[in-house]
Amino acid sequence: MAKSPARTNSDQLHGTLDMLVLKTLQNGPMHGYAIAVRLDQLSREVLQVEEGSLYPALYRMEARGLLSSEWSVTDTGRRARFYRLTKAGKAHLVEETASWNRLTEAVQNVLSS
Amino acid sequence: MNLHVSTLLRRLRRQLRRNVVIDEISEELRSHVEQRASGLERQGFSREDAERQARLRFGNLARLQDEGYDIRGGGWLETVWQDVRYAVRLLRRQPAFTTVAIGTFAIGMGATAALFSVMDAALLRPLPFPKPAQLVTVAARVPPQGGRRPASGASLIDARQWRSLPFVSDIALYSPAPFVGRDTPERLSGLSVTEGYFEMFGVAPAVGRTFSEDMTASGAPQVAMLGYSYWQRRFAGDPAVVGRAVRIGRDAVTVIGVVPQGFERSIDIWLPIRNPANLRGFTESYARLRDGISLDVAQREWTAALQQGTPWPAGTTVQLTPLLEDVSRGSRRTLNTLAGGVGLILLIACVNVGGLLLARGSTRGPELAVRASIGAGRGRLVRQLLTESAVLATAGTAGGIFLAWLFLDSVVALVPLELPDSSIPTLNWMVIGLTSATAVATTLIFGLVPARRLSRAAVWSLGGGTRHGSEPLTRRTGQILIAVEFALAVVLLAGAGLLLRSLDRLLAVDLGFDPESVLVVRAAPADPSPESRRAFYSNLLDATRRLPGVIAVGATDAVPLAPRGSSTMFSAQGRPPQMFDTQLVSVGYFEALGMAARAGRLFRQGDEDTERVVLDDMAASLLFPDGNALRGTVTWSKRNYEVVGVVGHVKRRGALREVERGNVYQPIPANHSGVLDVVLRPTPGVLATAVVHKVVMSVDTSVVVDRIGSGADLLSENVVTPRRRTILLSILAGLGLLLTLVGIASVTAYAVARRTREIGVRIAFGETPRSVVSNMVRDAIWPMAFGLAAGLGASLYATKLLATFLFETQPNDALSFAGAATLILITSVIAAWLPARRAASVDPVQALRSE
Repeated sequence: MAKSPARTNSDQLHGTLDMLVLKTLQNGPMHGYAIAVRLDQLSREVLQVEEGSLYPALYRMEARGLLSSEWSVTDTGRRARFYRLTKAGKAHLVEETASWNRLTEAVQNVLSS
Repeated sequence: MNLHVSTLLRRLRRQLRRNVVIDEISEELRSHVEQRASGLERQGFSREDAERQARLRFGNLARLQDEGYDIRGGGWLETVWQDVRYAVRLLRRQPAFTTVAIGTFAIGMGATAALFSVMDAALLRPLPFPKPAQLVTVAARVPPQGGRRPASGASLIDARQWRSLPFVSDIALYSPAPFVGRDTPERLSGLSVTEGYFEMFGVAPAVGRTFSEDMTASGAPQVAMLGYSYWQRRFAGDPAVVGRAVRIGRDAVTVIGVVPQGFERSIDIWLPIRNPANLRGFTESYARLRDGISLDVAQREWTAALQQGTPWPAGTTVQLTPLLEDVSRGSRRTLNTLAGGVGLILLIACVNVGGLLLARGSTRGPELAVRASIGAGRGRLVRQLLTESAVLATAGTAGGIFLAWLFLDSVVALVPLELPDSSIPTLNWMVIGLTSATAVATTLIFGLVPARRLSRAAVWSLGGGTRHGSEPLTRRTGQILIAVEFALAVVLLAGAGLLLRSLDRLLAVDLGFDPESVLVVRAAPADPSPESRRAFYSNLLDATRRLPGVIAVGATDAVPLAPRGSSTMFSAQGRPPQMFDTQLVSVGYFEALGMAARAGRLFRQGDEDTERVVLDDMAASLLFPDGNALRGTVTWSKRNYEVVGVVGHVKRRGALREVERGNVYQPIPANHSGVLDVVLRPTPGVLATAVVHKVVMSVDTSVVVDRIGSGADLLSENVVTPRRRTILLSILAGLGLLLTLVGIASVTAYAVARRTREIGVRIAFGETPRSVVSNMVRDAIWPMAFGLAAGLGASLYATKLLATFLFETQPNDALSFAGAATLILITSVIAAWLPARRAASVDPVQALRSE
């Protein structure tokens, strides 16, 4: 299911966050706080996302079948909800990454001309 | 795919465990904030700072929780349920509004349910047989031979020949035959049928068996089947009735079976047709066509087939009518009228409830504005308001169905229809379903406008709109509502008025005699032999003549206003013959009816068995246009009769729309063996029917008495259907008027409440309370005038529907319309004035202070 090339801004914003979250989960299931911390680390603190908005994104992706979740215990002994990628999620991540790369390549070409 | 299913299931489960979902989300989000706070603390921040920062970074916890809930578990079903509970709470807090709204809707829905139930019985279920579309009535149309129409009933041989026609699956004849039971003297209604009658309708006997072909042979033993209710009545439902003998008329018949319950309820006893096999007599036929044969094809081929076997007279054609159509034919027009009336009531109810919702809506402005401000979009608000309307409608529909259930029997008794015997109107699932569907449709009608208005007002008020701008029930709207309801009610009232007028005319028709002044006795001895009958009537006439207070006594074969009687063609003075009604009367009959001779004399002793007749004035003027009827000669079938007298015209068969014919009276021949009606003329107030009854019983103890009653009862029976129709439509009109008055009252009451401040100002400036009140009332009068004009205009068209039901009344009868208009105007002005009075007691200081 290829998305149409014309996407609105909020779609883009949502889509970007979604992509980042999916990427973060690529290495294994994590709970919400851990995802936020990881995003901080990986983006070297450049991406300051309102942390709360992570959760609606997680819920949306779960509703779309890109993630699955279950309650479990963190390494600090806390009860937390863990999210993991589904097969569909993995496929979606590949698609979105490719799409993003195309976009940045195009932008790069324009800027460096 | 699997994932979607399990996600769906989880969501479904969450619908039912709402709190669990909320708690989960809450826990997850809070836990995140805590962890962030702890992390910041570890970095060196104080506990409070850490918490504050964590919360800032996180965002609006409440909003995110809501958003999360919306995505994860709440969903659509949940919000609807929330709305429903909220609506119920709201309605309970406003009992006045709720009662009126639900009551109004219940009236509309109740009428609808009753209508659907009647329509269902009359149109959809009149034939509860397998494949009813295949059933047809078969009529042979024989062209008149020499001025007489020959009998066109099929013979038994015809029936059996026809059964083997390729397109006929089955055929059965029937012939009505009233019988007289002998075990207890009573009149039984009976039907003679051929073999296969019950099988054709897919009906199996409750007990025993049905008729076979050999039972119709003329020498075969007499057998019969019992009707279900007769079987319950006389034999207490005893299955051992098979084989027992029942005495009917002159014979004893053996019971071979019982017809199941619900089939042809009014028939007490069934016999096999015993005509000679080739007699074409007075039978009627039903047939079942084979699958896939069209009516026209069958009709053509059947007509062709008539000339094979035992040929019919040349030119005979066959006419097939679907049984469904035959049975429901008379009903359609009446049902259309009823449906129109109920539709009008429903519309009035909708307009009413819509207006009430708008009126109440003004008090909800602030609450809705708050909801709008926290993010409920206009669509969401509309959904909530529609849900409230739906709750009202559900309660109203339930109430309506309950009302219909309560009153269904009375309504059915009032319905001016001949409903087929096998279907009683009930509130079955089809009826309830249709009623509910109507409720849904009407909810949308009356609910949408208020919902949209209120939500729009709420959303606008967010942008700082003024209070007045957000007024849902504006003055203009209120006036439109009043005008519309008024117009609809006028149509209903005009229709009822017309029917009332017509009924009045019907009852005032000049019958040619005064029915109140005669007593009619219809009785016959149980033994149907001519000798016993002759003796009975002769003795009865003597006995009643001798009763004190009896002025005159007579007998006839067809009392006026009863649906019996024969007609024949007479001619006079060589002119072509014309059709007249004939009647056999005894000496004393005319006197008993209070008729005097207008020329010549009445019958007297010795006229029996002579060729003498008495004409009524209509017959006399038709047969003898030059006026010399007396002693003239009339001819029938090559026999001459002398006219000895002329009397006034008396209405024979019912007063409504029968073509009036002249009447030719003949004396009852001495060897007459038919049943007679005896007519007495008592001195007013002297004779009681009980006395007459005793006299009748004393003549012959085994007599079967059909009626002993005043002639006025005969008249009543003739007007049963028009009377019912009038009562029913009047009830509908009354309901419509009631609803309209309630609507007008509530709109006016609301206007007073809304304009309190304005009224206060006016009173403060010196306007008298009376003037204020009349101002409010005048606001309602303009729309009433419009409504009246529109309603009268609409009535001119609508009442054309009633034209066939009217007797000597035009569909645009001025008096009826004027009466309807007066009634509704007076009551409506009162309905507007009562709540308007409250305007007079507005305290100007209070009013100005309330803001």
